[in-house]
Amino acid sequence: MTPPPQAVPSPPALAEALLTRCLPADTRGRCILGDLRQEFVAMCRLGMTRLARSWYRKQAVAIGWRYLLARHRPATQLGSKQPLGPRKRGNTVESFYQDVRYAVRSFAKRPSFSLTVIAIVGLGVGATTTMFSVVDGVVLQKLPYPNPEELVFFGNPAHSVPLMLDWRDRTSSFASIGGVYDREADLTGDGEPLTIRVGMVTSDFFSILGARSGLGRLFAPDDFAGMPRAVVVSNRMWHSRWGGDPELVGKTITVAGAPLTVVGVLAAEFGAAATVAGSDIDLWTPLDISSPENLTRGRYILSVVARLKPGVTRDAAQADVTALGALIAVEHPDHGLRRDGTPRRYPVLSLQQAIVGDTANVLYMLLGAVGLLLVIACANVANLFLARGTERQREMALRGALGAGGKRVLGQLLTESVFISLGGGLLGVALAYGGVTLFELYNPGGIPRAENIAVDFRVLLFALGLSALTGVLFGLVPALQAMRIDVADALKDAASSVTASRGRRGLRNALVVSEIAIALVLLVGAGLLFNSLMRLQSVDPGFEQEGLIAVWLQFRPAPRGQEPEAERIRFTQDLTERIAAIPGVEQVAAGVTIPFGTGGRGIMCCWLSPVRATPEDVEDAPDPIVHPIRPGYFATVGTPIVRGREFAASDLDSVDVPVVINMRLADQLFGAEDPLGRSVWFREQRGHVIGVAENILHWGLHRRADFEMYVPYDVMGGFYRQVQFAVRSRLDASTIAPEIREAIWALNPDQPIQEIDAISRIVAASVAEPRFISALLIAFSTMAILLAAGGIYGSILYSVGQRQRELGIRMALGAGRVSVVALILRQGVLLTALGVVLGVVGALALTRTLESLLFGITPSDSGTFVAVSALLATVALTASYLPARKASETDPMETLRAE
Amino acid sequence: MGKTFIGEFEQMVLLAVLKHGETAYAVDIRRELERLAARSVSRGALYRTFDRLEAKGYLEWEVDSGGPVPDRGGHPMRRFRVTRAGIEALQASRSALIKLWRGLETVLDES
Repeated sequence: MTPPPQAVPSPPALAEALLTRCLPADTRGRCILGDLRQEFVAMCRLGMTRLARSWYRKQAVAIGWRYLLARHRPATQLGSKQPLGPRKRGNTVESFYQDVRYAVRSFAKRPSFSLTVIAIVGLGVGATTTMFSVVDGVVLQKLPYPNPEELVFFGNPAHSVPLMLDWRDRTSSFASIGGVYDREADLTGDGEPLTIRVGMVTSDFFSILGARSGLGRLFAPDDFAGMPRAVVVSNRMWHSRWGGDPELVGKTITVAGAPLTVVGVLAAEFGAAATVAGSDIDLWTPLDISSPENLTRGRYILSVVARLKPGVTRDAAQADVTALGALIAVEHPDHGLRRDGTPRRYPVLSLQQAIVGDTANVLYMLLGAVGLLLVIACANVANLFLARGTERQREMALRGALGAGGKRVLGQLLTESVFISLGGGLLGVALAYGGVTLFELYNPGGIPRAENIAVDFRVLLFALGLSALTGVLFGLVPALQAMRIDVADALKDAASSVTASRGRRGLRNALVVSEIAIALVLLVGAGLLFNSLMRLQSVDPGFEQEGLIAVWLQFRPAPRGQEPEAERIRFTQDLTERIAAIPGVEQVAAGVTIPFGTGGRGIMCCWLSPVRATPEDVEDAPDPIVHPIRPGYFATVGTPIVRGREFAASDLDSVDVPVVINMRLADQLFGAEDPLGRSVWFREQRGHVIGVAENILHWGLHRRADFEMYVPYDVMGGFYRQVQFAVRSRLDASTIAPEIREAIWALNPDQPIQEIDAISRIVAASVAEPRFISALLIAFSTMAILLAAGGIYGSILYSVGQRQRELGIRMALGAGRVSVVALILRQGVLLTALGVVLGVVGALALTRTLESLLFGITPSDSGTFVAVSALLATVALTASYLPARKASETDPMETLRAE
Repeated sequence: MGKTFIGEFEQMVLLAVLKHGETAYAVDIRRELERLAARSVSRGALYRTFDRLEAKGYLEWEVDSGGPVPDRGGHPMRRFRVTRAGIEALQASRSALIKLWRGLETVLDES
């Protein structure tokens, strides 16, 4: 019997393919492939298939590599070991390989030098890469919609439905246009009542942004007629409220008291679109744009997005919209004209620009700051390389004598510096991973699209390019220096003790000066931001924030025809009593607003109304913010009453409305006169002033105190849909919150709660962003100052080393220690002074970019400039004093003997 | 003469090719070298040496006319031969070495 024919095994396909690419494509190459395959098959026949495969791979690499290197050169040259001598054109690969091997060897010889360089480059690349990932994620990366460059957003917060229809029907730039009306509503029944954001969308909104449903469907044309009946749930809400219930579609939920049927859930990736409408949206409902109410021109409700027709630029669309604006101004002067009589302008922004907004400038500023840090790091490393270049002068000269051309030496030195800086880049990427994590951890939340920030492939590519560039930057200068060495001079023995050539020393000094100058720029920026943060934090808000807890409720809109005022006032009175009864509560007071009660999110209440000190109309009557408050308000929030008193329960019976005004309003209305007992007129009413209160900063520490007037809540507060309670307690907000919630729901189980939080935390959060930015800049400038100090220290230390013999002779001839120290310090002083002067000039030019971030301080604040210059000068001089002292302590005889 | 000396490994390769006569295939040459030199021989180095010797004109090859061998995946097989110049170079190298050796037997003799 003959054995069954065996299949001939094949070698690993990838290895064979790679080898085929490396080998010459002629008979010679095919013969080699055949030889290898023959041996491979022989091994397989012996039952060693696995071994044979790994053997084949190894051989493929070993042989392929040799042929790859030899590709451009004739075989006759191979194997003859070349020194780094003259090189023929074309054998780039081989010489590169040689350079790399040389670089590895030369760094292994000096590990401490290499590690220092890697650490410095790593720091610079790490910081820059971190900031780049932030900028990339927030600003540079495209929005997650199909063809995002075609998407535009109509600036100005809101537009009316008829205006959107005008844009749709009377311009030719847009392929489709849609809007969203973002509002709050209560979700009740089925679990805790909740205030949610509802986006009412027009029919094209979802398709413009390419939204898909993850479950069920999105809206059909039928859904848009009449009152909304259908609702689409955001993916986030689907998980948080309904635990991702797959049966949700078809169920009915109660939104703003109306039953709606869930028709679908949005796919998980959709959501960022909601940023357009101001904040994340929980539920989406159809908006009927044909209802008479929505067709009112004065009803500014829509955020409008549109998709440009292919080939239409944003500028063309803008021109189109502006031209239409002029027509609308004629047709509807009430809505189409501005106060000054010119047509209203509607900026057509790219959607990206609309979402990212001003954050881009801050981020670019921070990226610029780390860029400067990286330049310092480069200068520092270039200096190290220059110093080492001096030591290697003879080596380079020797190579030159052996025939290595300038280009060859340049190539080798650049390979060395790029090689080591790639090592630093590797460290930098590791640091960037940590940096991005830290950034996410401490990000105060004001950055849009923050969820996009990550060290991804683009960022890695950036880091790679950056470190290679860094290597070229700090390698080029010393390498060019090395090329200029006079071979004969350097080879003479005496050359090694001659002081470094004047050009080289000048270059080193220039690097040190620029390091100091750039460090000063960064330090000034950090100083200005820190200074302004300190000012912001030391602002007296006019109330006692410690131990104060804010409770914020919103009432449901009353059904038509009903008067909810009395019920709201009763609710507020009852709740005040219930909260006061909670153990641990010391004081409680209510009002439509309490200081920082709306989380520092701007004015969200009350009315502005001209107030006069006379019954007649006056031209420039101040417009105070009117706060309805309950008795005990000022005592609870801790605001001093400077004159008179605050409200008491008895005030409700008086004929005139009693009012308390703040100091700013008192000054404006009555000047030096005593406001107590005086009358004020506002709207159709007359009030009499019973007290003057300290100014309170209700809306943010960075704002100036407004004109404010307080009126009794129990008389005028029921009109408002919101009420806030200030609770003073020694207990933590989190400890007491459950009991407050219980008290609220005991009165009304369907009452949603906006917020219960410590006011001190809200105040701190309002300055979190400036604090974050200034912390970043302080971190960058600390690194900068350390690097600059290291630079000047190294530079002076080096020149002391070079001048040892000269110093020895001076000391032997009787020069005292002090004069030696002074001699060396002089160099440090000169460099520092020059660096500081240049830095101040640079800072004056650059800090203007910070202007919008500063509070109570100008970008050229002399105090900051003087303080940071002094700080930097002190550090720099200390760094030059240390080597000077060391030099003065050496024994002159020893130095001279060593010669 | 104008010709350079040939290296030790090049000499060994030429000698191994000569030893195999008419059937000097790469696989066998490598095995022969490993046996004679008692050390492993890198295939990459061997192939590049073939190329170099060929470029110097010491070695030539032709494709074996026996047709494709199935185990070689259809690839051809080379048969090597040392050229006239190769033999001269070996001879020159040998006579130069012998001249140098002369008189040093007492110093270098292993026995």
